[in-house]
Amino acid sequence: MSREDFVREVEAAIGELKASYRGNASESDLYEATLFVLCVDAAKRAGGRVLLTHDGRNAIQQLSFRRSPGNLWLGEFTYALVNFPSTSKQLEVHLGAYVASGSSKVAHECDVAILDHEEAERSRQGQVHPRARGLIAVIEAKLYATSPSLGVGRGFLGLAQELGPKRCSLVFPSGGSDNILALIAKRDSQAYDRLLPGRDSIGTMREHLVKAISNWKHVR
Amino acid sequence: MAVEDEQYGRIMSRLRADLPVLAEQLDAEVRSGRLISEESLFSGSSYQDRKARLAESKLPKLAKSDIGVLPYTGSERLDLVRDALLTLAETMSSSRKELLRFTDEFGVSPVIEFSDFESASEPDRIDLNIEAERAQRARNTMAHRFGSGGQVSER
Repeated sequence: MSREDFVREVEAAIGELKASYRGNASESDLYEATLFVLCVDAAKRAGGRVLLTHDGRNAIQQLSFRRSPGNLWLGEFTYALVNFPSTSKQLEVHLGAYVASGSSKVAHECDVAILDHEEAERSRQGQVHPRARGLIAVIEAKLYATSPSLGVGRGFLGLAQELGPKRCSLVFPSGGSDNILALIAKRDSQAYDRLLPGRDSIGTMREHLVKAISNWKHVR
Repeated sequence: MAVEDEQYGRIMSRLRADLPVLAEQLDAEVRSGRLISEESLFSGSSYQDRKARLAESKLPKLAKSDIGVLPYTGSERLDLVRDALLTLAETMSSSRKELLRFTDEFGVSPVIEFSDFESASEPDRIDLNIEAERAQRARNTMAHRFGSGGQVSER
């Protein structure tokens, strides 16, 4: 294809995409919601039974998610409550929650958080943020169509340091640059590029989450 | 180079108007340049030139810990644009499709809502049946336009 033809194709493509594009905020919401789905799927594969609920008792008829991270004790938003036949432990999967770091006492935004149910319930009843000690896994999602910058990686490592590096994963749909992948490669946290439903990376990340959940189940 | 710059400039003007966040991401990537692989750093005429300049200036030689960056060529910038559009199209389509599958699995409404407790504004309601089909069409069109990584010629 000649350059001039390519430019014309790109201009046409931009117009077509724009017709179904809801804006970066909404597209980010949708992408993060698929990561909620991934976490629920991992919980099922770890042997869990899932209730999608607003109140911990009744099943919802419609998914209703936070647009921005919020306080667990406010609003009626969908979360997944998961119980396991082999243990009395339960976990919850939340889209958009604040979690408090034990070291700095600062509450950090978590795009998707898998929490111990007892910690989440304590948060609701005490109207305090859940503590990082109750985190099983957290996902930081970046809707980037090119590689996120090194600054994103540095920010993520800061979050991981606060919440527990092994619990934290950075994900994005684009291919990662050598820079950002190298930055995170030697750390306890994970980075998953090209993370989209249907791609191999989803299976890899799901296995990582299944392992994290299984390990948590077995902790006494 | 002037023609390439003009073509890239034309695309970026359109992106800034219609998909500004994508335009920002591309701008940032182009500004940061392309990392030179370790193999490339130590090969070719560019390596010889660097080596000679360092030797002449009596400065330490290039080492494995060095990081080199080159600006993206005109073709490479256009490839970046193509890949970014394909990634965005795939993300939009696969997100909606996966959420639709999930609503079907749990027997809940295919209309999902996003809102903020603190905000008085109406929730953002998304009908996944309609949106998934629309996004899939856009993705298919994109794939048809650009193939699977088809190269842009030098002319």
